[in-house]
Amino acid sequence: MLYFREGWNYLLELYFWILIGAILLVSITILLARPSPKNNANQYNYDNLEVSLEETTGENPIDKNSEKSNTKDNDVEPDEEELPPEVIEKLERRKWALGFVIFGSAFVMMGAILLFLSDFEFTTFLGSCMMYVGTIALIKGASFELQKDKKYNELSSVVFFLLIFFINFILLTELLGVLGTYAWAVATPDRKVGDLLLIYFLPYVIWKLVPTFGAADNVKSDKSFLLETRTAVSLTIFNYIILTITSAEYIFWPILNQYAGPGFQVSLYLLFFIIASKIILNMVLFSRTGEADRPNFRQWLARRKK
Amino acid sequence: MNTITNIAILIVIILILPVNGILGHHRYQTCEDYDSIVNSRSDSSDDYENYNYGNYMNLDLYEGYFFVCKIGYIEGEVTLGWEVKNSINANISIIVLNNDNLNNFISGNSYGHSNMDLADLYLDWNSRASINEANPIENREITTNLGGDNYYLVINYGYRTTFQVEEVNQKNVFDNLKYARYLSPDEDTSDDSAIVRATIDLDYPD
Repeated sequence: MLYFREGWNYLLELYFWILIGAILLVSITILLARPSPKNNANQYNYDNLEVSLEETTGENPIDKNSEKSNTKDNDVEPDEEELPPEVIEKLERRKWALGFVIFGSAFVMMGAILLFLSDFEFTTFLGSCMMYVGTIALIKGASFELQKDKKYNELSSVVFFLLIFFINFILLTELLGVLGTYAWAVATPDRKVGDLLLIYFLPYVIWKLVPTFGAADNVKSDKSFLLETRTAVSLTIFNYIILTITSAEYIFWPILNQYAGPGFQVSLYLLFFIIASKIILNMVLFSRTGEADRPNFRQWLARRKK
Repeated sequence: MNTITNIAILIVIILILPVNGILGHHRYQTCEDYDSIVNSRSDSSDDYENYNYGNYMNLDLYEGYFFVCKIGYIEGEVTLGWEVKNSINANISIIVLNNDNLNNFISGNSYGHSNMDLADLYLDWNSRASINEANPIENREITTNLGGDNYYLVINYGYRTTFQVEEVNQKNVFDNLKYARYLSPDEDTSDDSAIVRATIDLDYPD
């Protein structure tokens, strides 16, 4: 925030790096999402084969296709119901990906222009918010692009969440100046809870609440009555790594260190609560099933006689 | 098997559970700020002079070791100080360190002050000009411009004797667990145990 008020160079530099990051992200997405030539061929043959099996017998499917394309203007357009569900899903994902990328790019651009042209506190805040939302939307769009071609796996999910986490943290601290203004010792409990929610819960909500069609198909999920144990373990390990790295100053990031300590603490309690609840639940279920399976007195007597 | 695994994880978690509550810091306690204590107790008590507050340390427990509490991230101009009550005028020294110097302090490397003004917060208890045994309370305060870093209040009970490189005797994880025990203010007044109480005072400019 201090740097921000001193001059525009830092902002321009930040804008430059965000743009570079966005371009890199889109490039990587396109590179990863692009089907290989072999898959392309298979897809083409598969589509034609489907058409030829359903609609033609003994005709060359390519000729049929070309014929169809020539008379396309005259024919009635096929209904969406006729398309297989996979194709519809793919089209939907593409629409969402495009929407997010366009929306994100526009927001980043508008936010940067706003920051560049005006130095009022309100416009600074608004511009920073717009850049923040825009960058998140760009990342979300990239994830849809990956989902479209079934390239969205657990690793990409984690990578995207980490990206959102760090972008969220940098913008909240450096641009918006919401965090890091008070030392932890003098912050009120309400402020402490609020800060932790902004750092950990906000990226999680952004990531989870925005619709992700069929993302769960590729990402294995272990549904639990509270929160996945694996998620809590991952969060704990993540916080521990951040805390260790920043405490030993392998990376000098003192603001992150301030919040990583309590973050690790809260994640430990969360993990403790989840595991304890599971153990209690298992014990209750075990005792119930044990009672149901227990033989009655006659069955027990019959077994004894045998 | 699943239950056994869960219980094992639970035990590990209990062992590594943090020192001071759900919103504290892992391993290090969070320093108690004088103003926060006064504000939080404004309804219940008016006599702050006689009220016991702050971070408590039992001298027997910390003998030859050190106490650290984390103040947090500070950047810019602030007024920073501390107040320490040393009930038996034990040989201690008080210092405020940034993260890098704290790491050096613990590991036995040479350490110092990251800011010239912070040197004014250093106190070697036995080298004081006058020792008032009836009221063994000392305080220091400075107004300075600090570089963005995490700062800690360190009370040295003989762990380090110089600012230069020296061999130190670090305690293991299980020894550290006993520092998790919190002393309540009542323990300070109920018996004559050797106790050190510390608070910090951090104020930001209006």
